[in-house]
Amino acid sequence: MDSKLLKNIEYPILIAVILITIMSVLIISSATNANISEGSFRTAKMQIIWFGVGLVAMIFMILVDYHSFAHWSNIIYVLNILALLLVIFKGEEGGGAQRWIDIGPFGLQPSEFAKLAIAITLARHMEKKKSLKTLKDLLSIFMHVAGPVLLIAKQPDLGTSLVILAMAFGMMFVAGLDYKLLAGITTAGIFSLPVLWKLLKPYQKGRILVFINPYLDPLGKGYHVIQSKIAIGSGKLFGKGLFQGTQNQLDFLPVKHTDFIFAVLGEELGFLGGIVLLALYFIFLYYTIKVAFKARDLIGTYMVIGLASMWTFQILVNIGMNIGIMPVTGIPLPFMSYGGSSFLMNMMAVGLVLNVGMRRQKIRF
Amino acid sequence: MCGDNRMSVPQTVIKRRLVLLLLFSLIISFILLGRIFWIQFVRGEELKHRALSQWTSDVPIEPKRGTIFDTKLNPLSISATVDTVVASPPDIKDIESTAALLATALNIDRVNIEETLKEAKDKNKGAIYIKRKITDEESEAIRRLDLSGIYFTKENKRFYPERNLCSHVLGFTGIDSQGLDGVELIYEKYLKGSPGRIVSETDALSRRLPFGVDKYIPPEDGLDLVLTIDKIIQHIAERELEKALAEHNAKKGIVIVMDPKSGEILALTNKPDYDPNNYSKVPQQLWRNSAVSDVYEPGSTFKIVTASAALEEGVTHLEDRFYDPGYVIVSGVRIGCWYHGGHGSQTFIQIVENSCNPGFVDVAMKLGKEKFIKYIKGFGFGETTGIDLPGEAKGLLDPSKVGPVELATISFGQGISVTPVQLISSLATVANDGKLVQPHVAKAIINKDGKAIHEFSPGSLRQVISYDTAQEMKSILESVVTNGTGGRGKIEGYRVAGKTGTAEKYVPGKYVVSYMGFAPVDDPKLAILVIIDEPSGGLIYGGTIAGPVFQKVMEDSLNYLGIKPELPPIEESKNIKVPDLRNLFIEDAKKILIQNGLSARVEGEGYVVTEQVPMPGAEIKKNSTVILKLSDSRTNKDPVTIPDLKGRTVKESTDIINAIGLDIKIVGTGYAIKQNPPPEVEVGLGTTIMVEFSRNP
Repeated sequence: MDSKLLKNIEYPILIAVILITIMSVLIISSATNANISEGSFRTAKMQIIWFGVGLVAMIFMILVDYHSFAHWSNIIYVLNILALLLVIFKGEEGGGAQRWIDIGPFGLQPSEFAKLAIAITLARHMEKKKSLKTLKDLLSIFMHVAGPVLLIAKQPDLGTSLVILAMAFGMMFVAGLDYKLLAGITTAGIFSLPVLWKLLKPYQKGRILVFINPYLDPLGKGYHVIQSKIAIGSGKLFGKGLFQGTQNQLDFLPVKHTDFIFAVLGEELGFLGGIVLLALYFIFLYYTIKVAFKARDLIGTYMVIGLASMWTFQILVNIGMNIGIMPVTGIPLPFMSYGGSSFLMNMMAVGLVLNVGMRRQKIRF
Repeated sequence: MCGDNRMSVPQTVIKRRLVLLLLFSLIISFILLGRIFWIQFVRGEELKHRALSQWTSDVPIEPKRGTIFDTKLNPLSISATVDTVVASPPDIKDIESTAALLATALNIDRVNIEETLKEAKDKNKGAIYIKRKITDEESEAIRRLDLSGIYFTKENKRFYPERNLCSHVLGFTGIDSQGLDGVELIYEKYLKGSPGRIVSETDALSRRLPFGVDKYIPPEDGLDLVLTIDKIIQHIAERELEKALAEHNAKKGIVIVMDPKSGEILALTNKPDYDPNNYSKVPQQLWRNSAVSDVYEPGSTFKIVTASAALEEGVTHLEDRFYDPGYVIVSGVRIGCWYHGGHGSQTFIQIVENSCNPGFVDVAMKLGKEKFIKYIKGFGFGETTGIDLPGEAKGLLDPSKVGPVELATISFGQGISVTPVQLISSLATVANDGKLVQPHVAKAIINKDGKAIHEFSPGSLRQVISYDTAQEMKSILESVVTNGTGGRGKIEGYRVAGKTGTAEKYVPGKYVVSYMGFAPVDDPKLAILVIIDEPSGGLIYGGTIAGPVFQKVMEDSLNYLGIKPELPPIEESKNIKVPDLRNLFIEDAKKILIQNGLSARVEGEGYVVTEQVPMPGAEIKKNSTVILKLSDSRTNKDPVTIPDLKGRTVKESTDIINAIGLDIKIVGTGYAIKQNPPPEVEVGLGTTIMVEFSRNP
C-alpha cells in the first residue's frame, strides 16, 4: 500500500474509537464484576480480545480499495441474504429471538454484519440509480433493503431492521432526496403505523406501551427504564466512582454490560462521564462525515453516510432508551456495549470509513 | 477538494445535506445531554434520595455473628434473633396516638418519637427504626397493640449466657453487632460475616407491592471462635478472687491462669467486672481489662527475673552465701529489707526463699546494668506480649534512666512497671524450660460444621534462659513454697513452685500484693498469677493474701484437669496439736512447726519466741499457720536445746547463744563451721558452747 495513503488516514476517528473502547472496557469490568464473590473480568477481557480481532479486520478493510467492495456488491448482497436465511433456519435462540449462528466457540450475529453489507450494496445501488426524484427511484431503494429488513424483523430483531431503514433514509437524504418525497414517506409511515401495530409481537407492543408510560408496569416491562433512570439520576455530576454504583453493583440494572451500559456509566462516572462519551461520539461522527464530505466519489460518500447514519441512529436510540426518551429496543451502543459481532462489525465499518478517507485524492502519477 | 464530476447529483446538494446531517447529529448530542442533565440535576436529588427509596426499599440483613466458645465448646457469646420495631410512616394513620402508644410500650420519649415519625412522613421515608433489639415483653406489648404501619424485623442480638464470666476477655458488641471490645473486637473479621439484603419493590408511597419481586441476597454468617479459656477454670478463678476481695476488703484483683507450655490463657479475670449483656449500663472504667492494659510495680514476683539472669550469667550459684544486715546502701541510698533486722547470712536459695531485698540488690550489682536489662527485655518486659486482646500496655522500662539505685530497686521489682500478662509470661518461661511463649486467648476459628478454618498456636518466641537455669529456678521456686515466703501456696500431693510479691503503692499504706506460681514442678500444667490491689486490715503480704487464692485456684484446677498428684498422700492426721514453742530459739521453733506439718509466721524482732497463736495444745488443721511473736528478751527455758549455728557470723552466733541463756566461746573469725556440743543436744542454762569460725565456710 502506498505510504501516502497512510498520511490521509483520519486519525481522530481511530483515536476516538480507542478512547471509547477504553471507557467500554472499564465500564464492562464494573458491570460484570458486580458479584464480587465471583470477581470475573472475563467479559472485559473478551471485549479487549474483540477489539484486537476488530483491529485486524479493520486493517483488512483498509487494505482493500473500497471500489473493490463496490465491485463485489452483488455477491455481498447474496451472501448477506443467505446468512440471514441461515439464522432463520439454523440459528440459536437467545433472548426470545433467533439471532445467532454458532461458529466454533462463538456465536455470530449476521444481522450486525447485514448493516455493513447494506452500506456497501445500497451505496452501489444508489450510485447506479443516479437520481432520487421519482417515487419509482424511492421504491427501488426500498426494494433493495426490504429483503434484509424483513429477514431481520422475522428473527425478530426489530431494532436492527430499524437501523437499516435509518441507514437507507440517511443515504437517501444526503443523496438529495426530494423534500416532497421526504414528506410523502413520513406521511406514509404515520398512516402505516396502525398496520404495523397489528404486525408487532406482543412483547414489542408492550415495550412501546411502556415507553409511553413506564409506570404502567414498573416491575416488568418498565423495570429496565426505571432502573436505568434511577442509576443515571443518582450519579449526578461526578458519579459514584467506578465500581461504586449501587444500582449496578446490586444487580438492579438489567443487561447492564450490553444494552444498558450507558446507565452504569451515568451512575458511576456521572454527568461528566456522559459528556466525555458524547463528545467522543461527536468527534467520531464529525470526522466520519468529513470523510463523506471529502470523498473522491459518490459511492464513497454514500458508504460513509450509510455507516454514519447507522452510528448516529444507534447512539440516539440506545442512549435514548437509557434515559427514557426512546422505547426499549435491543440496539447496542457502538464500541461501548459488550458483544463480539457488533464490535467486529463496527471496527470493520471504521476500516471502511478510513478506507474512503485515505483514498479521497486522486492518486497523482 | 478534488472531487470528481461524473456524479449526477449536484455536489452542492450533497454538501448541504451532509452539513445538515452533521447538524442533526450535533442536535441529537445536545438533546441527549440535555436529557441526561435533566435526569441528573433537575431530578437528580429526587431520583437519588426519594425515588430510589420509593421504588425499591433495600433492607440489609445482618449476618448471624459467630459464636464464641470456651475450649470445651461451651458457648460464651451467642447471637440470637430478636425483634426490632420498624415504622412505615406512610402507613401510619394517626401519628400522635401511635407515638403515645409506642412510647409507653417501649419506654421511650413520646415527643421525640412523634417528631421523628412526622418528619419521616413528610419526607416520604419508607421505613425507620423505632427501637432496635427489643425484649420479648416489649415485642409482645407492641403486637397486642396491633398498630397500623408498625412492623417488626428480625435482628441479631448478642447474648452472654454466662453473664459476668470472662467479660474482660469476651468484650461486647454494639447495636449493629459490631465488636467493640475484647475478642469480639479483635476477631471481628471472622465473627461478623457479611450482610445480605432484601430488596423489595415498593410503590411510590413506600407500600410494599403485593406481588412485588423481593430479591433476597442471603447473608453469610460469621465464623465461630474457640477460646483457650476453660469455663470451669475461669469460674474457679473468679470465685476465689471474689472471695478474697470480699475477705480483705480489697479494691480490685486479677487472676490469670495460663498453660505455660503453649501460652494458652485458661482463665483471665479482673474484679470487679461487668455483665456484657448490659455493658452500657456500667461505668466505663469497669470495661478496662487491667490484666493487659494496666501496669503496676510487681514487687518481689519480679525477683524470678533477677534470679534467672544471675544464674544464667553465672554471677551466682545456688549455694553461694550472702549476708543481709537488714539493709544495703547503693550510691548512698539505704535500701532496707522487708524483714527488719535482716536475714543474716543465707545461701542464694535462701535469699529467694526469704525474698530478701538486699540479697537481690547484691545479685543485680554483680550482674550489672547491661546484662540485667538484656534479661528483663528477654523475658518480654518493656514490650507488648502480643496477646490477642485489645489495649495491651507495654509497661515502663527505660534503660537510659536506669542508674545504680534503679538497678537495685528493679532487682526486687520496684521502679519498674509491668502488666500482669507480662509477669505471668515471664513465670511461664521458667516453667517452660526457659522458652518464652506468646500468651493468647484464641484457639481456633471454626465453621458451622465444627471444622477448624484457622488454628492459633503462636508457639514459643525465644529461649530466654537455658534449660539448666530453668531447672535450677524451678527448684528454687519450689523451695520458696516449701521453706520460704511462698508457704501459702502449698498444695497437698503436688510439687508447687511459687513466688510472692508485695509492692507498696505511692500512696503510703496501700499495697498491691501478688502471688504467682506453677505446678506440677516437673511437668508444669498451670501457671497462675494472683494480684490483689489495696487489701486492707491485717498483715499485708503477698504470701498471706494472694497465696491462698493461688492455692485454691491451683488445687481445684489441677483436680478438674485430672492431673494426678505426684507425691504420695501425707498420712492424714486430721488435726494437729500445737506444740509449745514459747521460749524457743526462733529457728528451732520453725523447725518444730514444719515437722508437725504447720507453717510459721513471724512477727516482731529478736531470736526468741515469747508468744504464740494459737496457744499450745490447741488443735488446728494441717498446714495452718502459727504466728510466732519474737522479742529481744532472753529465755529462761531449761534445759536448752542447742541451736545449729552453722553459717552464722560471730555476732549472730553470740546473740543467739546469749538469747537462750547460754555462753559462747569463740574460736577464729568468719562463719560458724563447727560447734561443741553439737546441735540438738540438751544442756542446762549457762552452759558454754564452743563455736569455731572460719573465713572459708
